[in-house]
Parts: sequence; C-alpha cells; structure tokens
Amino acid sequence: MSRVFVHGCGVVSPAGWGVEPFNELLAGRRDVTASRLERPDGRALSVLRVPPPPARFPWMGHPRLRRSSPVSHHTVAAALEALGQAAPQAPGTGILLCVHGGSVQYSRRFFAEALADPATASPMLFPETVFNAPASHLAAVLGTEARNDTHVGDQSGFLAGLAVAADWLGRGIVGSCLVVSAEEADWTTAEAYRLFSRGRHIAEGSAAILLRTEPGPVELTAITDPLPHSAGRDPERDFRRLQAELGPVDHLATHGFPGRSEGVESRLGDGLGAAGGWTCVSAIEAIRKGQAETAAALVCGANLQSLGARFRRVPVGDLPLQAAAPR
Amino acid sequence: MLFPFQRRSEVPVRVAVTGVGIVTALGCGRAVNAEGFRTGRTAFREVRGFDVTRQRARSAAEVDLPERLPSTALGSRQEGRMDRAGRMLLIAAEEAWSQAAWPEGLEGLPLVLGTTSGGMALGEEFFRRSSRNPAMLRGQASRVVHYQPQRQALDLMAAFGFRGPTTLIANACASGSNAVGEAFEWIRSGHVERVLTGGYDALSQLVFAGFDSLQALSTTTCRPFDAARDGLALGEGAAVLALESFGSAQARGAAILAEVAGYGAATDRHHLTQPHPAGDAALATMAAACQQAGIGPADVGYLNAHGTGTPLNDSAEAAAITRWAGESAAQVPVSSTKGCVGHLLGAAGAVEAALCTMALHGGWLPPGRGVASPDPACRFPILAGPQDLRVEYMLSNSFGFGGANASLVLRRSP
Repeated sequence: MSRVFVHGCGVVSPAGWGVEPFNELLAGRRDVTASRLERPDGRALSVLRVPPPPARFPWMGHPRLRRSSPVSHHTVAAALEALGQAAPQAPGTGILLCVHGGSVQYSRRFFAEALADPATASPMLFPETVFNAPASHLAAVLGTEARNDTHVGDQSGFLAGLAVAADWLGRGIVGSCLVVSAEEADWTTAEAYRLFSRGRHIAEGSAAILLRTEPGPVELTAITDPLPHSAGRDPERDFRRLQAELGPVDHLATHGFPGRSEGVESRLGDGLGAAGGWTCVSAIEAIRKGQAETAAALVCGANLQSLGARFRRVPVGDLPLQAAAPR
Repeated sequence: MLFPFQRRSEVPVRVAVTGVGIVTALGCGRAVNAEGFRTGRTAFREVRGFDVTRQRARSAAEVDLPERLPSTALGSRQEGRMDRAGRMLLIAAEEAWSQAAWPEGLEGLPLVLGTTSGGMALGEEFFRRSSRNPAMLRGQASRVVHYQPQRQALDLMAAFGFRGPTTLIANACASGSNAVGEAFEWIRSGHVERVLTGGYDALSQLVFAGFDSLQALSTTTCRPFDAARDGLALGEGAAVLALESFGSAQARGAAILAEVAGYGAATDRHHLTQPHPAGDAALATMAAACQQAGIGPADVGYLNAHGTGTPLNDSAEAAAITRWAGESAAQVPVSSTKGCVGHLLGAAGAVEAALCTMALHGGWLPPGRGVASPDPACRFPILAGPQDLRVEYMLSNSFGFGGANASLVLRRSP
C-alpha cells in the first residue's frame, strides 16, 4: 500500500488570499467583517466574502479565466499556492475539485436571463455554470490532461476527495494530485442557508492540498469511514465515533460540530464546500508550525455525511533533503 | 477506514454487472428499452415540462413517469418530496437492485453516481419564488434540500438500507461514464466487493435554455454523424448498474450480464465547450480503456459513440475514432443512440453502459437514427439499422463540457 504525503497547501478565505492570512485569522490576530449582498428587491443578506486580491495575479490574464466566475479564481489561486508556483505548469497532475454550490453566481444570472426571455439569455454565461468549469480552467492553467473529477457534496466532500486522490496516487493513475474545494457567495445561497442557520454567515473561498507518494513533511495517515446522514444528522454522536476511529491526536480542527471552540466556522463562517478544505489545512498547519506531531480534521457536513482525516509529522530523518526544507 | 485501503486482492479483480436498471424516454425498464434501442425507436416530442415557446428548439425526449414508485423502504412522505430526477433514479435503482438480488448485510455498500444538475427543477422553483415573492417561505426549505444531489443519494440509501461511502461525480456530460468507471476501479483494485453506480438527470428549463443559447440544439432532427447534422437533442433518464467482483457473483450463483473490462479518463484542455478538433483526449481515453481491457481496436465489435449530433463534437470524435482504430476502422460498427433518446447529460454514460450490457447479453447492436449521408470524416461504418450480432467487446464514449472525457469497455459475459 502506498503512503500519501502533503506537499503543499493553499487557501483563499475571507481573511485574504493565502495560507498566512488564514493562519492569522485562526490565531485571532486578524478579523473579518461581514459584507452585504443585495437581493433583487433591495434587501441585503450578510455574508463573509473574499477581499479583493492585493494585486492582480499573473494567472488572471489566462484566456480561460477572463470571463470565469469567482469560484474559478478561488480554485486556481489555492491550487497554485499549494503547488508553490507563480508561473505554473504541472502536466500529469490530477485534479479533484469538491464543491457544494459551485458556480452559483453565473447560474443565477443565466437563469434570471432565461426567465426574462430565453431567446436573449447569454451564451457566455451558461458554460461557466457547470460544476466542473473551475476544474477545467485549472487544468488549462496547469497544462495537465490527467484525471480530473469534480465531486458534489457537502462540507465533508474535501475529505472524501483526499481518499479518492490517495487511491489514484496509489494506483499510479496520477503522479501528484491537487484536491481543491471552492465556493463563491451569492444571495441565492445566502438566502437558502438562512432558512436553516439564522444568525450564521456563509463564507466563500477555497482550499487546496497537493498530495504525492514521495515523502513530504506531513503524512495523511487515515480517513475514517463516512457516517452518512441518511437516518438524520447527529453531530455529537458523529464526533464521538470519528474521534474513536482516529484515536488521540495533539491538535483537532473541526467543522460542523456545535459548541466546539476549535471549529473553523467560528472564525471564518461556513465555507460550504470550502470548509472541509479549511479544516484540513488548519490541522496540517498545526503540524507544519510545530504545534503538534499529530492532528485531525473532523467535519460534520450539512446534508450528506461526517468524515475525519488524520495527519502526522514526518520525522526529518525520513525525508529527502528537498522535502525537509521549510516551505 | 476509507483510507488506508483494505486491498482484498493483489491482482486486478474482474468486475461483473449483475443488475441493470434503466429509464429513458423509451420507457421505464430493461424490456422496453432493449426493444426500443434494438429497433432504433425514437422518443422525441414537444417539451411539456416547461415553456419553450421562446426557444429556437422545442422538442426533447421526455420521460413519462409512472404514477407510483416501486416499493422500497421509503415512506410516502419521502416519496412525495422527491423531484423528477430522484424518481427516475429510484426506479432505475430498484430494477438493478432487484435483478442483482444482493444478499442482506450490505450496510457499507458504496454508491457512485453521476449527474450534472441533480434536482435542478426544484432549484429553479426556489429561485422563482425567492425572486418574485421573497416573504413566502412555505416549501422553500424543502426545495433547497431536495434539489441537491446529496439528497437523492441519501434517498437511495434509505430506500435500500445501506449507508456506505457516497461519491457524486459532476463531470458534465461524462459524469455517468466516470461514475461507472470509478466504481469499476474500486472493485478492480480490490478495495470493495460491490458498488451501486449509475447516472441520472432530468430535463430542466435552465439547461434547455443553456444549450439553446449556445445554438447547440437541433432545430430539425438530431442526426449524429450525418453530414448535415445541426445539433443535439436533449433527453432525460437514469441508469443504475450493480457491479460486483466475479468471485462474489460466482460464489452466490448470480447471473453475470456483462463484464466491465476497461475504463479510461482524460482531460481535453482545448476549450471549455469545444473538443480538440483532432480528438486528442478522446483518443487517449479509448486507448486507455482498451489497454486496461487488454484488447485492441480489432477486438471491439461495436462502438457506442458520444455522438451528440453537434457539428464540432461528431467531427472531433470521428477523427479520434479513426486515429484510434487505424487499419481496423472499417471493421468497427459505430452508432450514437442519442438520435433515439437524446443527450441525457449526466445520465448518458450510465444509460449507454446499461444498453451495451443489454446488447451484449441479448446479442444485438443498437442502431443510430437519421444518418442519410455520413460525415466524410467517418472512416468507419455507421450502424443505421437493427442488427442481431453477438460480439465480445463494446466500447462506449462519453465527453463533456470542461473537457471531461471517458471511455468504458464492456465484455460479453463468459
């Protein structure tokens, strides 16, 4: 059986573009403020949005990204940070994108146009509404023709995606694999969310983890069996089961378990599909910063399942020189 | 544990299809679909589900759903909340489940489904009401819950009493093939003994308007690979396949309907909606699927093409098939069944895998429709009429927006 290692992480969040602002937010050294999304009737909904990038990234000029929606930008930004490349080419890299809402802004705009008069609905918008558009754009940016799947799910989808990526790597289907989760905010999503969770904010952004079989500083050691919500959602029960399956760890990062102080949603809002990625990156960062030898990410999704993942520090002596160097 | 994997076999495991369920505009169930695909019956009509009076195209292959759903563990309230897509999926799943007759105790059974839009019609209704009358919240929460593919997956689990890992693949029009392919790979690599897999999609106003806005819908008749083709026709439906290891199927004396023997997937990064004109990624997926099956083009007795009927798709696929088949091109019969039931989007690959299973089992080839004069790019025979023939291998192609390309090889049961 192949072992799987984390070779890089990337984040876009309401804290900003990159892992560092994300870390600062989780450490309480930075705050985010909610912004308002206007509905057509003028009423506003409160959401946590990604701030504008500090400067225009070079990849934003890629022909594929000129008309794409924010979810594609979030996808590409997190993936490139995980790859550690400014001018990317990563042929042979597999992509596994996990989304909950996907390209909701263009979907809403296109459907509104179609309802007004389908004869004049914009053909520019429709192709961007498909769930796999961001993953397709990322493949074009990276120059990869390798396996590229988009999965729809809830906040737990990212962890299930890690398992699929580990399988691809183990069977040699891809040489490296980016697991990405990404979302964009829209008033339709915010309104739908409000029906279930008043007083909490949805957030937008993305997370990415680069996995390889070559040793790296952090190892993915386990992903639990999923606990589907087919008989109802029970976060407390799921938390106990996931913890029991993964065993004790030095650091815990969670999402979706009410009352847990380490819950990333308490600082970042509910990033929907992106939330699972943020939770995993939070666990990995605790190891990378030397705060823990082992860490777990536990996620109770909104409407599919609960899952947990376990990571551990790889002793420097087990690493090739290049991988042991700080990122 | 989902990871590390518990590998039950160190050598590749052969994968059997022991159950098939299918819903298309030809009807609900294997018998009516086998008859329809075998004879090349078409199933298009003017769309009744939503207003198309302001669209260029007006017709599609709509499914007439039965009033009652098959009996499962779902209660009437649960059934009443299901959307059209979920109902088609449930009907197909029940048929596959009954045929497979899997033993009790499959609590951890994995589910792998492909879809492009889940219960989109409910999402559309949520948007309409939210835009026009935001104060009226009645039913809105239920629409949000039931339009998402997660709900349809959970309904399937509740209907048949399993709760294993769920994967919902949304690779546009290749989703169904990707789902069957991923399920096949899990069994082949020895991770699991069985997987329930398939694809489903219902017609929706957003998607219909979308393809129409791209002028991709035929305003005449969908004629894949015809020189004068002018676009695709949309359809809806679902197919579910019960896959299991040969060892498991043989040990319990189950009828093996066909074997899934190969799967290839690749990304065409040429354009978001247009294939590479030479069909590079399509060529890669066909070659990969056949390599995994251990066969060459000369071994393929029938190729079920993606064949949407759009000028760009069919010419690129024709180029890819010709390059892949090489000297064998003239010996590989090709058809696209989208001329009969339309393009089923996320369901297409699963439905076509299901029909290949039925055709391999029944000893017939499914003809295409509407080819008066084949595109000169087609250097292979286009199957235009019914033909009874027992072949050993069939190859099925599915390509989608975003450059999602997938091919499956199915083999006649031993």
